[in-house]
Amino acid sequence: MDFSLNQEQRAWQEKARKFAAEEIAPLSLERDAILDPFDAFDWEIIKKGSKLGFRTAVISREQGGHDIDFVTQAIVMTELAKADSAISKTFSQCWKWSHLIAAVCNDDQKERFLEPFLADDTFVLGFGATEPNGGSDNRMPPPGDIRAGHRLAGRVEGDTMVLNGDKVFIANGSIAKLFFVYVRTDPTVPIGQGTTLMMVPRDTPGFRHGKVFNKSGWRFYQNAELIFENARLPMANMVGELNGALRRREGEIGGDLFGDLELAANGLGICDAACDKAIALVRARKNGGALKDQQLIQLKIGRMKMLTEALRSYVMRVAWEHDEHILSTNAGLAMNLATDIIQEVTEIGMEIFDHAGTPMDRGIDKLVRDTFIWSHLAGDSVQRMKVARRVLSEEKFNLI
Amino acid sequence: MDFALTEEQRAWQMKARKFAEEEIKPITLERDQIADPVETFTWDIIKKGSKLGFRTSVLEKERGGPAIDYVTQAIVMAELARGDSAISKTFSQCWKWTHVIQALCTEEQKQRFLPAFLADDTYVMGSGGTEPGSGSDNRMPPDDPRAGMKLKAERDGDDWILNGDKVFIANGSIAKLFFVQARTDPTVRMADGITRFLVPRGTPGFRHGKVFNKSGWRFYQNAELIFENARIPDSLRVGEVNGARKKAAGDVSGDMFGDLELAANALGICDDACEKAISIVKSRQQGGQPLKDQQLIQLKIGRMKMLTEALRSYVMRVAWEHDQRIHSVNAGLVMNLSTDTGQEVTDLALDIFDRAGAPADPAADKLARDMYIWSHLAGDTVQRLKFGRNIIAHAA
Repeated sequence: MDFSLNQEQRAWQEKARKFAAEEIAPLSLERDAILDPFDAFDWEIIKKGSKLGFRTAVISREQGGHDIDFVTQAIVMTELAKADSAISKTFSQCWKWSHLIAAVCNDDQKERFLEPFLADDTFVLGFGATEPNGGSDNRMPPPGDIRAGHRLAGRVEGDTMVLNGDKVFIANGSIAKLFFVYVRTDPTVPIGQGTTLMMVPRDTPGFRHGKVFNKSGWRFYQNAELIFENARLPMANMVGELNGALRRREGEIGGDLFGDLELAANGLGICDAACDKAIALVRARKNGGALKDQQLIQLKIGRMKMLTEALRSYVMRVAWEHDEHILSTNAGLAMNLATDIIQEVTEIGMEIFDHAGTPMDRGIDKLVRDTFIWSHLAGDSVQRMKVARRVLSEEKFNLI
Repeated sequence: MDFALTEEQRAWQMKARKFAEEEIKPITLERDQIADPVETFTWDIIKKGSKLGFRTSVLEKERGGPAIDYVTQAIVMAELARGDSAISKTFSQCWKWTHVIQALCTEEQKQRFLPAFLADDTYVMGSGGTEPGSGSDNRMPPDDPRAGMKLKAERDGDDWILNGDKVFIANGSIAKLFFVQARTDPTVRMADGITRFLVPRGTPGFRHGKVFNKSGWRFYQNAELIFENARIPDSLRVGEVNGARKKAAGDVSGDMFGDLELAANALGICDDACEKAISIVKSRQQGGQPLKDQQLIQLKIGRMKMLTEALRSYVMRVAWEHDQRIHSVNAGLVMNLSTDTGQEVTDLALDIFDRAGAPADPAADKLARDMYIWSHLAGDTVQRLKFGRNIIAHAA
């Protein structure tokens, strides 16, 4: 048992903390308050972070990246999210697909896409699964029903695939230079057997992004509509097998596994921010006596910190498991738990601000709004049932 | 970052797991159902566990003990509690006071008690804090001389004369040695007027009274201690006169262990609840459908496991912090959390057993009852306020 960080991990933590405090924190509220959801985004902060390595952090060293381990990834995401959860996610969204490129792309694809990704501070990556009628159905498709799940159609014509349809709420949708898109290549079978993963560069003819969705939280983060009208892609952009996208490989730790840790670690940063804000306020304010001496306040602060530290313990354990290539249900469970904890912790933080006579504080209000999206991504019933089914399918009851 | 156990830690875990499976589990429900709270206890399981080292686990190596580290302590407590939380606590209560002896007692006191403790499989230890009029007041005393414990100790030559009562005292009816806090200066606030004494069973004027009849932890003996002109030589005083509540800097004994203890023990209960619930939903059908295929059941199982693994993560981190002599609020917070987690997880297990057509299952029922006592020990408002204050005062 060892809960400490090594020197390299500590160095990345300090670098992320400094960048968050000096560069992200000053602009977080300002970006959040911009009404137009597209204008909320800003390339400056991405370029600055990219130069420090935050965009390309998980690319392997031999390919020119930093190859930070999962523990470091968790720490960096948390530190960045402490200043702005959505900006942290914009960077880590690139890691998610870097993991995938490393795990499943062929050499030709790596060469064509990794080099420009590494060279260009504005090269960010996105992913396209959700459709107007296929969100939770994509995640946990009803067995055997060919009508369920995504419908974006891909028709193979020789060396080309022709795509038609829509994606919605797509991460980095309005800004990414490259998308990984789930395409229905066989509509006569369930999506588990009929989906292909395609790499879609932004300048693909017939492909464009539509509107950027206007969210209550994570306003910096660009969730956009992707529109495919006879978009033509070379088959060389197919990742893995035709119809093989949803057949998970044995031992694969990219994609979703990273995604679970990502949302848990990011959430932890929000909790840290909420605790810091609430504790600082309570120490400073009086309300018919020092606020910090009120029992109600003490109980609330205790609960915020208790939940936050429980989440940190679990996040760090999961990150360690990833580095050890231990596959367990913990990643999914920590992601589920992050939803409950960040929503409760930010809500308590808001109560404390109200109690302190500073209602509607914009900083704490933003934290609460930023956690809403976990209900869609991390803690909805489908994301909980998926993990629970895995718990129930384990042959042995696992302890440590 | 490393969440793995060493070989030695794993060996203790396996030993505890085997003992819990083979010796504790077969008797747990039977002892739980005995109506008389004195009779629920049995020496047999304590003797067996003692021979395996579970009574004397934290005794220093120089004195013949195994001196297991905090990570191992946490693992062993959790494993034993998977068999029976109260039996686990009967053993770990001895660790708590071994820690205190080692941290605070004089060499003469150690020589007098530790060899006897090591040699006798029935030598268990108890504390003595709570009184009829003061429980939470002892934990978080107001600056008022009237608040807190009243058991009186008065100097008489080389002796102290003790008069008064303690209640709910751990191992009260069975311990051979108690660590009793007594009021040696009633004119000042409690924090400045308490002295701790070692009180061996057999001290004239000292006896135990009734054993309290609890809904859970029935094996565990919480008894009344009665002092009627009990005479204690000054050589059995621990630390300074009026100094019992002044915690030495760097002292990781006592409460710090106690926080980890309750959290690790609750983790064992959660593990047992998860295992029982998963086992029943895998084996039962309802309305022609396996229970495990029902979404409601899946969500409940997922929540049980999620809360349990979060607690495990936090418990192991705190145990590691103790081994590193890192002082933080985490020990207290994980104890608080273990109350919430243990009570919710055992309640979910009850729901699942009810839904499975096995209502009032005695085993699931026992787990929920065993978790009640955390509301008194670990998750009451005072135990939460203490740490809330701590965070506001000190946290970085």
